[in-house]
Amino acid sequence: MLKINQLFIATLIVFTASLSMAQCPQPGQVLRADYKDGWGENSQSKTGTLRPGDTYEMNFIAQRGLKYRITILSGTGPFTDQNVEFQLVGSEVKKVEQNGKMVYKRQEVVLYDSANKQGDEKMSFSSPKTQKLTLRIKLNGAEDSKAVQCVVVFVETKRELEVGF
Amino acid sequence: MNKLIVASCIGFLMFSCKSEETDAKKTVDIQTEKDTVPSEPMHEIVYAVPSPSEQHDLLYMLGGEVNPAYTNPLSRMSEYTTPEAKALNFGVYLSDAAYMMRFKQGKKVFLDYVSSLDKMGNELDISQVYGKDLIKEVEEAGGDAEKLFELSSRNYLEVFDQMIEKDKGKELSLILSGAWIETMYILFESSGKFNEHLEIQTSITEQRAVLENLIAFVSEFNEHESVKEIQGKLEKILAKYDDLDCEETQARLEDKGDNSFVLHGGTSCVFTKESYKEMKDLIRETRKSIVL
Repeated sequence: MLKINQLFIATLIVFTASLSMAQCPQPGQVLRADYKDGWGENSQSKTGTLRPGDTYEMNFIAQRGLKYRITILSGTGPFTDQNVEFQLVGSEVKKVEQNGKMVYKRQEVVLYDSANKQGDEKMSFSSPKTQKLTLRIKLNGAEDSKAVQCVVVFVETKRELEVGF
Repeated sequence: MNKLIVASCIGFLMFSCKSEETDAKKTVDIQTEKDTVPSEPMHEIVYAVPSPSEQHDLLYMLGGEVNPAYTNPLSRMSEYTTPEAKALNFGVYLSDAAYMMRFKQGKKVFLDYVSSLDKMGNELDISQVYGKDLIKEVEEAGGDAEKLFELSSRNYLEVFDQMIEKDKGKELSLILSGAWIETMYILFESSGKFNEHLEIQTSITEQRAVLENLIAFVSEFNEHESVKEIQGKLEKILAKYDDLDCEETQARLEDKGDNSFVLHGGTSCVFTKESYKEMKDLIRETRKSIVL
């Protein structure tokens, strides 16, 4: 809970200024990368708008040699991770039946689902290969189903491997 | 609430690259009339591509070496007179600056890029990114190569954010395309002959994923002739990836504890001697059509 409160304070100041500018703030305006621990903001961080029930899919590239940490927040101020769920989705080629024939087809695979996890830990991962991945984000219900909220997808990276691996 | 909807829809216009249930015009309607907020759930899809800094960082980790001859000389900047040529080459120079800073080419080189990109950026309505504050920060960084690289990376983000905030999808498409083609050019030149630098060549095969996302991004703005043209060039490069030998392994996430994972599986591809030469030639040709 302490962590969340800190997050609220950190984001509230920026958010107040941002709302008056009448648009969702950039991810770097909401959260700051944990530079002390070697993380930096990744250029693929994004913000968008969403209503409860909508889904927002961000297709991004996870490069090999880097470790990624994902934080997703939503709200109209302050931002919180309480009302948002996300899945990390990859793909693979599978042999499937289509019109009576067996064909190879690329299909999506849900690799991670935040709904199955407890606590407010940030999710991090690395990949030995560069991969194309999708973050599928969904807002949980709210009182006003038409209330549009900002969603912040904050991606941090740090090197997993050093020069010359 | 109306303000929020307008605010959010401005954000929507700026950030969404593809919508399955709405398009840009419908979004404009939402801004003016609350009642038209769709009752059906929407499904937004956006595409992101790694910055040149992140890609040159990978080249650096793979043991690539710097060669300033791979970059486009800043002296050519005055030759780019049309807005389209300026945007494409702004991307080229962003990639070059990231490359030079990743390979620790020092403060003077960075300041040369800062002053040149400042001038070019003003012509593209990208302001205050390469201004006095940055010059001061570069001066303060002195000989700290990592700090200079960090400044270079941060500036890319600021340029990107400014283009998004100003709703300049066309220019951003051209900038990202120019940057990606320059990055590919540097990767190919760094990778030498076929099978010479296998790690770098593998990273080139993995650029397919980046290219697919880039094409998806620019295709949202291809009502502009210049974007349509560069999209055509990118698609031609994408087609070359079909000539590679690839194999697929099952994707799975290995749990390392503390909500930390390792992603296994995915696609691995290798060049044949012929496909390597063909793609390298095509990248050279495409780059030449941009830098002139």
